Amino acid sequence: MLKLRSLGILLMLFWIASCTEENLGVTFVTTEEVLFASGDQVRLLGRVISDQDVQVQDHGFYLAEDEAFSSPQIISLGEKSGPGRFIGEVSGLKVGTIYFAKSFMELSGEMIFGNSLELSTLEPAVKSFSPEFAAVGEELIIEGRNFGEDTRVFFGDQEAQVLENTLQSKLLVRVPNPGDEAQVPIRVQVQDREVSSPTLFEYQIGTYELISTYPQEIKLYDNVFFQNGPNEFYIGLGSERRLSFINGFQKFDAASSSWESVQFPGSSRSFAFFTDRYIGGGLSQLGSNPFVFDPTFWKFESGQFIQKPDLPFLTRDALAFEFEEDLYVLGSNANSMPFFSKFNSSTESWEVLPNSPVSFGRNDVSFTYQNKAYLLSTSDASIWTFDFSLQTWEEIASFPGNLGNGRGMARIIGNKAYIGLFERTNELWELDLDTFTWTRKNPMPGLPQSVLVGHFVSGPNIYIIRVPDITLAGQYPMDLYRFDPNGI
Amino acid sequence: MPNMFKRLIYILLLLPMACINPYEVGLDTGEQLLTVEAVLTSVPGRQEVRLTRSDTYGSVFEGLIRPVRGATVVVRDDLGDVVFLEENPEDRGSYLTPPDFATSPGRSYTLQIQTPEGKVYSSFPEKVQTVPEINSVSIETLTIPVEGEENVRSGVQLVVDVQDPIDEDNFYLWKNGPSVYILETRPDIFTPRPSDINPSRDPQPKDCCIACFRSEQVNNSGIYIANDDNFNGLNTRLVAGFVEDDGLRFVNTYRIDLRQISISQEAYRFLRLVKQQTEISGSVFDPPPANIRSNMINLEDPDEVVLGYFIAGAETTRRIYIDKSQLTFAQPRSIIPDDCREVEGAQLDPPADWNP
Repeated sequence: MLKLRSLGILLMLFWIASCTEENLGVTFVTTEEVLFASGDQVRLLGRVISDQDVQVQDHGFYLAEDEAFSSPQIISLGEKSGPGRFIGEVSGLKVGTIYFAKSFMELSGEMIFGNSLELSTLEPAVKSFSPEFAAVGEELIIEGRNFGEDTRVFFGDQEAQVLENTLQSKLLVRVPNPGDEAQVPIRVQVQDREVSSPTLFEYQIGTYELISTYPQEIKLYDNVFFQNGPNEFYIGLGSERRLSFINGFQKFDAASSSWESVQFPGSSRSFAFFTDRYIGGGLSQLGSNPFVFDPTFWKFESGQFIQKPDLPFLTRDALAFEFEEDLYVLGSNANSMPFFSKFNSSTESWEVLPNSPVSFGRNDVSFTYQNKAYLLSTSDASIWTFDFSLQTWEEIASFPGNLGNGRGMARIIGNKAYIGLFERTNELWELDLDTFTWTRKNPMPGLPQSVLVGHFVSGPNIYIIRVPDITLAGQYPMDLYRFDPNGI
Repeated sequence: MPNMFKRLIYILLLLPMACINPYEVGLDTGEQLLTVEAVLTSVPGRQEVRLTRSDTYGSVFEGLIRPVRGATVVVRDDLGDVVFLEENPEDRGSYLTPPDFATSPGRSYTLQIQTPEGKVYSSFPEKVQTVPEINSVSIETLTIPVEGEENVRSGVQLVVDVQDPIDEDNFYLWKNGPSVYILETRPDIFTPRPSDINPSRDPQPKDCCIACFRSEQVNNSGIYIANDDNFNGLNTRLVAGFVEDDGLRFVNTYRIDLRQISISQEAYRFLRLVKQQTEISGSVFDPPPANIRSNMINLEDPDEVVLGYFIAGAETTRRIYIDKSQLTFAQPRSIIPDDCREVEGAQLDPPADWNP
């Protein structure tokens, strides 16, 4: 009996020892990391951890503005086989707002949540933009941070088109039409936040208004132009398409916007030098075989052309400018030798000056400002000054624009020089003569392959007339534009 | 006679048994895993992120580690500021920050990569901790016995003196910075290689030059890291680098900039594991091989294995000049029988900041 009892106890012990508890496994989910947070976007990393190959019906993240997750945004990533990491992304969040996030999984009908993380969406900012100066329609890049999906950009009050938003940090925009100001802040709107550029954007400005058309249907080349006072502009001589000379001038009255023919008592000519009061030299016959020079020299005074003694030199395509009523002529003579001469208006005599360090001619442009002449050489874009009192030359700057085929314009308004419109370009630049900084102005309308016929200064405006290059076949009107350098 | 015949048969039988067939390690083609190497610090400059793809390793040539070209690489901080990196045209797979890039202590940085195949990877945020200054750097001569060779290897161990901050957990990484040393050569025994133009085998001494300043970047063969578990808040001395004596470096004066970088706990853990794995010597006490996790993750396939680590830290450097007299053991002097200027990285003029 005792043996039976002992055997029974032993069997009982074996039975108890043989019982195995069912292994239910350990499966849980964690919210590991906020991988990315921007103004309106968040990327979260979660992980299903399990010691078995679980089949999760759904998993993802809850995101809410309160820690209790009372009205959460649910980022559902669907079914998942087995443990491992998962990433959820949500956009359209409020900028600069604190959120709470937690991972979840649905396992066998039960919702299991991971730990909760606090995070904050970020505030937008503008750091810089480039270029700082541009024309309407050009592209501009704004660098900053947290430019969300619906970011809007304004130049002053004008909204710009956002072409591209790269990684919420770089906006490519197209410069919109300007409002009333040439310098405006760039404003970036992200949801209800607005941030501005630390510096102002400057529009490329300058407006051209078509005010008249040359009264004759001709294409004028190699001509002469000058002005008498602020309102009388004279255009004439030269040739019609280098086929026949033009006799006399057309005078435009800026006050009445009317044209009038003016006779020239001298002979017709091409390639003459001229200023507002002098005309001289040039060729008296068309063609170049051989060159037939015109030695006559004329002064325009009190509305009359007065002939002066013939020139002591023969020249064509020379460059001329005036200073204190004296005339300075630079160019090359009939033997292609360079010269620099001064006509003293009081003694009516010519004086030979030392040659300039580089050759200048009508291909180049000049203007006078204070006690100096400024000359731009189209051979290398260098700008030289000639000091009238010291008679010294100095190279001071370089022209940044397109020199085309030369024969451009240089005019002064106040302390600004307007240089450009060389043959076959429509570029115009402003040079601040105090700071020697260049600013590009809006290009002149019309065909870029044009040639200057005349330019005049009246008040704050420059009047410009151009003709399409001689190589362009067909008839084109010669339009006279009024250029406002500060027009927006 | 029959006995002799038997013996001959046994000997002949032993002969084929003595043959050894080389064992060819046959491995399946390994995955070409993205490998990221990046240590960005607070010292302004062009800093590098290197992207490569791993390849199969075998007993014979299997594959090349290739650079990842044409990727879009950006570094983003926790304010949302993004820095675009440009690929170095002279070193494909190397992506460089702008020249003024520097991390800021307190900020967190993430590395984001888009490969030409369109896969997007992101690192976990790496927070930059402040780094304490190096009080001083001293040296200790180290000799390393080489198994099977009579001559030992030797070099200079760099030892830093650091005052560890008490109120924070600190993790340190040391790297060798650029170095310069006086290189001495023997132009007087220059013997050119015989050629058709100059067939002579006699020495043709050159007049110049015996001594130059040679710049080089000596990377540590080991990983030098530390955490402050054992010296939190205390002044301590730690081994922070090693420069091997190659018979040229310590002939006169040697200069090196030692970089001390604060790293995150996770980066420290990664480097410690890499250090452990690379220092396995086959002993029974070695740690078992482990799968070391990167802090880079594929955003579309988080389970993809990515190798390497993106480290962002703060950096301080300390310069040390080492005179040959400070070494207790030096390698026999190597002789370069030529003008010292012919050696790569060597020039006659000392660096502008050479001040031993």
